[in-house]
Amino acid sequence: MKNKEFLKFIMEKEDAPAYLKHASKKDIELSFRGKSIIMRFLAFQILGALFSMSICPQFGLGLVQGHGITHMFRMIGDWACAAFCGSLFLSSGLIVAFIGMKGEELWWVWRRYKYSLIMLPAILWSGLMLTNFSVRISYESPSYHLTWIAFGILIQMLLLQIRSLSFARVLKA
Amino acid sequence: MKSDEELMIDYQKGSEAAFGELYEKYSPMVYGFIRKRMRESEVDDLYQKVWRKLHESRELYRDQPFAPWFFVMIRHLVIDEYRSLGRKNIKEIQDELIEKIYAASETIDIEPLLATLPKDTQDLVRKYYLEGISYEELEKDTGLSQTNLRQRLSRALRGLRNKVYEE
Repeated sequence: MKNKEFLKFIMEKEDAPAYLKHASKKDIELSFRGKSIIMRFLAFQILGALFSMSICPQFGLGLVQGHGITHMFRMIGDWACAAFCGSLFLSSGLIVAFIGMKGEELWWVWRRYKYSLIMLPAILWSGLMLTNFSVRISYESPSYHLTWIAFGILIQMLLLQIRSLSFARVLKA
Repeated sequence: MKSDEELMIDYQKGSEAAFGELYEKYSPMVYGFIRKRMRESEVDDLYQKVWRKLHESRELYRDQPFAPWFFVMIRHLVIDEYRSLGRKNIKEIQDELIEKIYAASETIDIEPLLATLPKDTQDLVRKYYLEGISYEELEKDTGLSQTNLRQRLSRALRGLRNKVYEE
């Protein structure tokens, strides 16, 4: 082999910082069961969605009648109502995942798929909102829907990041 | 103790333990190599990319010495990183990176360097670093203890390193 670089490679050893070394190793170890982690994460999202659907007064299964607490937000303004509703409904799957999945798994999801796995339910819900379920309600303008989706995504990102950071702290310790 | 090649085959088959052993052995080499070629702020990301790339490419590994195969992969990642940084940054940074690429692509013949070592040490370096033979196997072949082998290889590498930097 004629390569000075290769010689340097095997000679220039330097220990990686402990956190980086542990995090990178853990990331790959979790990748061995990556498919299972993703499937469970999505399953929990579906569970959360079913929960949302069961209590949603607007386009749910109608198990709870009336708008309940959402009236309070409606008093502040349509945007507040949309923000609360989007955050609660989109995050419910995530909260279920927090209960059913390990911190390291959620940390891995955050590192690898924070955009795709957070956007997916948001896009699915957006699709639902664009159907006649909600469009027929006159006060729900495009900006109402946009606020709903934007807050839903933001809160999900925030919650997952907080959960992920708490595991990252364990790795750093 | 398994050779790197055996560990890689086990890793391909899904052994986390085999990955762990390879990781522990090569982590200092990967980090050291990257740190001398990238800016401080770029090192951590690239270090992680290397291990992800290894994981994603493990199926491509065929029966061959592991260290050179892995090294080629790392080197490609470093060059890709230079290129991607070049696209994003100002000309001054591009020039600096191009210089680094030139430095990184410099090649020499290792044989004359190895020839400066005693014959038995040359064989050890070739077998361990270039052919990926494990300490356990070397112990059986040479009759030397693993501790002794480690000391000899470490001394040989120090000597080679000095010669590389003298050039």
